[in-house]
Amino acid sequence: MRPCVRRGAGGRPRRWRAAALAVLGLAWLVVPGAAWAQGGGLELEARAGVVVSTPLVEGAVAFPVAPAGGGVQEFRVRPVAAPLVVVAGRTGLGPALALEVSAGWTFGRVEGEQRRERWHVGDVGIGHAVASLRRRVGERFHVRGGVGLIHYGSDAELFEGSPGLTPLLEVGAGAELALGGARLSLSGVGQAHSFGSRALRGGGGSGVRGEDGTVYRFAVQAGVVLGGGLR
Amino acid sequence: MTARAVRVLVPALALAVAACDAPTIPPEAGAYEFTFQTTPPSVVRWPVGKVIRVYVAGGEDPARAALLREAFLEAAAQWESAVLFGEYRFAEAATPREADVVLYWNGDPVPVDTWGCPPETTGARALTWSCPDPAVPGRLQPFTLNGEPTPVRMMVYVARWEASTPASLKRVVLHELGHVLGIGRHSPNPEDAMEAHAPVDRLSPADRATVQVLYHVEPDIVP
Repeated sequence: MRPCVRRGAGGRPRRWRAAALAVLGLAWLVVPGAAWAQGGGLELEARAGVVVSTPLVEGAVAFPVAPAGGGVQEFRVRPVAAPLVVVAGRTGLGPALALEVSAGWTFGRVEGEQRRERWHVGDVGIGHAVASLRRRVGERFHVRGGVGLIHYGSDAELFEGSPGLTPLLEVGAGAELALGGARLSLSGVGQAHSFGSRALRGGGGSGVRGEDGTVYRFAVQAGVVLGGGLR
Repeated sequence: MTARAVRVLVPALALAVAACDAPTIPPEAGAYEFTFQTTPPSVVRWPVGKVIRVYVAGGEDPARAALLREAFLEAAAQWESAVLFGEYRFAEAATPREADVVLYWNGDPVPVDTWGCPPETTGARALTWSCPDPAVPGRLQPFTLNGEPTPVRMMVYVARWEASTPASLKRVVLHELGHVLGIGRHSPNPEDAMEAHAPVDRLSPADRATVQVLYHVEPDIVP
């Protein structure tokens, strides 16, 4: 049996191109904003990176009448590694402590996999917004944690009836370094949120109810910091 | 402060990683038998994620052609909505040379050569048929056109008299697309579209459950 590796037309290149354009758009917005932010005691940061995720769905199908090679087959549906862009604004709350508000967009793609088969389920745009506390650790490092909302937008059947916005927890850590006149950042982020949809809970009409679960996303991001210079 | 942050952060991350619990769906219930009645029974289905291209040969009468096309589009939409994870999709093909399946009126000229794989009967209300490829085990035989192999692996005909009752035509095409997807038998329940003479025009929960199971079972034959 030949394995099926099917990639939808315009999958990866289109998503990464869109992400690159989004980075340029962010720069266009953030760079002029830096002067305004400087005056208001704010820091702006534009970040771009890659995000990976645990599966959105894990399922097992039991064959009702065992055929040759039948039994139970497990399958997974997961977002593949995808580009992510984030813009963040910060203001100082006290020594080494800041409030950060960030918003990001993931140019995602969801794939299914079972045994030797792998297939394109659908494209998905994932938006998130987080308010977090950020604490400086030493001269260069920081940790942060916060809460926010996340939204999955897709035409795929899987997402039919999914709640518009789902609460999100985020933790992160990173470092800043000066390079010439610029301040660059490198950070890692973990997010957790629940996931479910009406289609999943209804089993797609089979009457079998799926269960909501928790999805974890992990991202590495590089960014540029403008304005402020919060201490 | 640094040590304290690390003490808090590391266990929190470890807990988060250890607690990964993806949303789950339990095994499907309500599915009926779908294997083809070979010895032993075989599972025949397209590779998961396949876009199944169907050439709808509606014939020269525009009204009749439109009926067949509309029946196909409605049936395809129903079957596509029966699965959650894009296991298959249907698309219309412009020519038989770009198609995996040909749908036509019985009695009209057949768009591909069927001499190597003729239908079991030409008197049925509708029929979906294919033949194992003698040269490639585990595959279906490609139909030919002017002696050249085409991508077409399945043929579907519908009796021309169905054109006089569009509602019946839609039921028939819905049923035949179930066979195209790989449902190799008829459901015993008249509430299911895949029952032999089902008077239903919507897929039942059992129809949906069956195709969901089918596309997560390892196939023995891939078209």
